[in-house]
Amino acid sequence: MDGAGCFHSAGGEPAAAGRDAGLVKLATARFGEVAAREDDIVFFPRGLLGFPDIARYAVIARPEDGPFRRLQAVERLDLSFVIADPLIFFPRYRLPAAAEQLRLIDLTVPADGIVAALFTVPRDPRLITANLQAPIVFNTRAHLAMQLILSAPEYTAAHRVFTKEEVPQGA
Amino acid sequence: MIGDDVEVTVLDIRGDKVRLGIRAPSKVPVHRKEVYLAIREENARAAQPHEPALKEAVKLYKENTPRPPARDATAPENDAGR
Repeated sequence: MDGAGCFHSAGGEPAAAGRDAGLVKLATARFGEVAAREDDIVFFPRGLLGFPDIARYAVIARPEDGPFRRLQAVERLDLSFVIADPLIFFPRYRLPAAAEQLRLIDLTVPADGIVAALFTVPRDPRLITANLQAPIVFNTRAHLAMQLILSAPEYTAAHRVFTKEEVPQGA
Repeated sequence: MIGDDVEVTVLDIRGDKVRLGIRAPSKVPVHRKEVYLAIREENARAAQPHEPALKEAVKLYKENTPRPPARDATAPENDAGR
């Protein structure tokens, strides 16, 4: 499973005219109103760590966010995360096999999986970090997702993105 | 035992320290509490992205990657000859 490819753009494509039924409008607290396609809404059976009761998120791609995507809680419009394909910043990042854990989201076919990392964005953009220890894995076919916790010691919850930092290859 | 398939054993007792072993099927993730807490804290921080900083970061990214992943589309087809 690789992290390549990254979600559809939300409402960006000239979707079949008149087929608004598949769009969910979200008046987000952080970046205004966006339209998410039903296809871009994913279900986290266990939520994210610390947010166990929030299960439905929309993956929002906006041109101004460059390589980043927003993981916007559908029921909590003030809650959203910044995610991206970790390989963009850490080309050697690899997930160790976690097949058993991935059963939670019915992920048995690697091709159905997409990996994303959560990014922490503090006031100073040079200090942005990626959480490589607890990535999010999507089952794109089933629209399910989960936050994995890796025990690979080389990955931590906060890797600097814009400074030279050797990220060792995973096991 | 915890449930049918999680087994907790005392590996060692030394003074006031007890070492526990946990045997569980691999579908049951077992992590130390510190790891959970650290990730929970990081998630809480990640839930508060600084929007102007993110804008800056997109700029930084674009400056540092003159040729984004679009290069596949522009790769000449006759590359094989080299």
